[in-house]
Amino acid sequence: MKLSEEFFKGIWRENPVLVLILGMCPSLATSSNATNGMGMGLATTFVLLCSNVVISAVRNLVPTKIRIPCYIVVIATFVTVVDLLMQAYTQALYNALGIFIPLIVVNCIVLGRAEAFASKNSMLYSAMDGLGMGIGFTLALTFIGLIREFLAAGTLFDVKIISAWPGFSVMGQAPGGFIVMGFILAGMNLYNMRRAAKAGKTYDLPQELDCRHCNICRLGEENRD
Amino acid sequence: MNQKSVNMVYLGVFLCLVCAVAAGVMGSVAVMTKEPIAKAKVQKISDGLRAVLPPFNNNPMEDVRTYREDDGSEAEFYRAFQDGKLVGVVAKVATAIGYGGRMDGLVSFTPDGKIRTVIVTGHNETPGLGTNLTDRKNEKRLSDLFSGKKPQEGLPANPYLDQFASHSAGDAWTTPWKIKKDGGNADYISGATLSSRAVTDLAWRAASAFRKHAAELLAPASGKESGK
Repeated sequence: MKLSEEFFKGIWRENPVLVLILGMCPSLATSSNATNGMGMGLATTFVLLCSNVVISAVRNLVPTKIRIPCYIVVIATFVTVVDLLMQAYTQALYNALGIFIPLIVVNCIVLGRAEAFASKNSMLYSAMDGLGMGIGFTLALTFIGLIREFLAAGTLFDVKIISAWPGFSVMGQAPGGFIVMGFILAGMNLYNMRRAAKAGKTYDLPQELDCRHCNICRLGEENRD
Repeated sequence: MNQKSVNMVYLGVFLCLVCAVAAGVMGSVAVMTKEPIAKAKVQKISDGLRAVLPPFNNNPMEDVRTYREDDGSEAEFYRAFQDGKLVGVVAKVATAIGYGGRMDGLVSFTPDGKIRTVIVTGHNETPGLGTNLTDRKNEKRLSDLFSGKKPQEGLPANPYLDQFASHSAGDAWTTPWKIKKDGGNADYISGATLSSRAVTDLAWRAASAFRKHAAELLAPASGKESGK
């Protein structure tokens, strides 16, 4: 296990949005333009990094039975910190992102990394994992945002690229998010399948990582004895 | 006590401790950011006032007049002075009939009682459709970035917000102001009728409240305003 690998896996191979399909609600809601997508991504990255480090630091102290409430408290604390800091120093972005900043608490990427990685690994690795996943999330949101913003208004980061762009306003709204997301996922699957076929293999999603394999949902079954 | 209940107490105490630490962290950040947040909120209003008014050198936020209208809504008025002379009055109004619900705006008046500028400060309209009515946006172009052209000074134009300029309640327009589709005089964007109605309602609320209280609002400085 190498440090750089923990960092880079979040960006492509296990990208939280485009491969693991986690955190869809904020991804689709805040990616209506590139600036908002990037702002949301950076806020989430901060929370991910901090919560991963803290949870990894206390991983041997926290009793297994109440680990989830403890993680939630840690995550909620950092989200509140981000919320207050953004209100104080980046009003415009705060107004644009609105309710989605407090909702980082329930973003399953953050809790997912806490449970799947930070609670089992050392602080340094957890920091790398959080940073990599956060940057992967930011890049994915910015990418979706750039496509949607361009299709909706012909602009990129608020700079007009094509002055006579007709403007498909649906792309700036919720349906546009789903449409763009669908095409990106199809493209990624196609690329990965082709690459696997060339190497003589079949492509499978990374196992034990997506929502179906998350341990949190199985808590009840574990304790049934 | 058996093993299970001891364990339960331990878990409870542990969770309590975690929460206490978290509360401490959140509390200290809240204290730290209290002042910047308050400052940012005031800054937002004063930026809005500077945008819609000619130069002034008093602090309009020291003398806010709030009037309650018959329908229960409120209009806040700020008065701006330059060296003790009234240069403009700004109404902060809100309407609930936008496509996305509430819409907030600032409407400034010249000392002769006509509308000077209308801006929308808060809204929830459809991007690319309703926002054509509400947003004043300086369009940045790719060529400007390379040629190093400076952004335009002052407020960018918006034909739908600018149509109210130099109008006042009770002039040639039929009252209450309505969009042309509803038998009024204001232009609207078809496809964004609700947003158009909301913007017109916003301007009308300000204009009618201003007419009602004009004498009081246009009164000369009471001494306090002449200072910095």
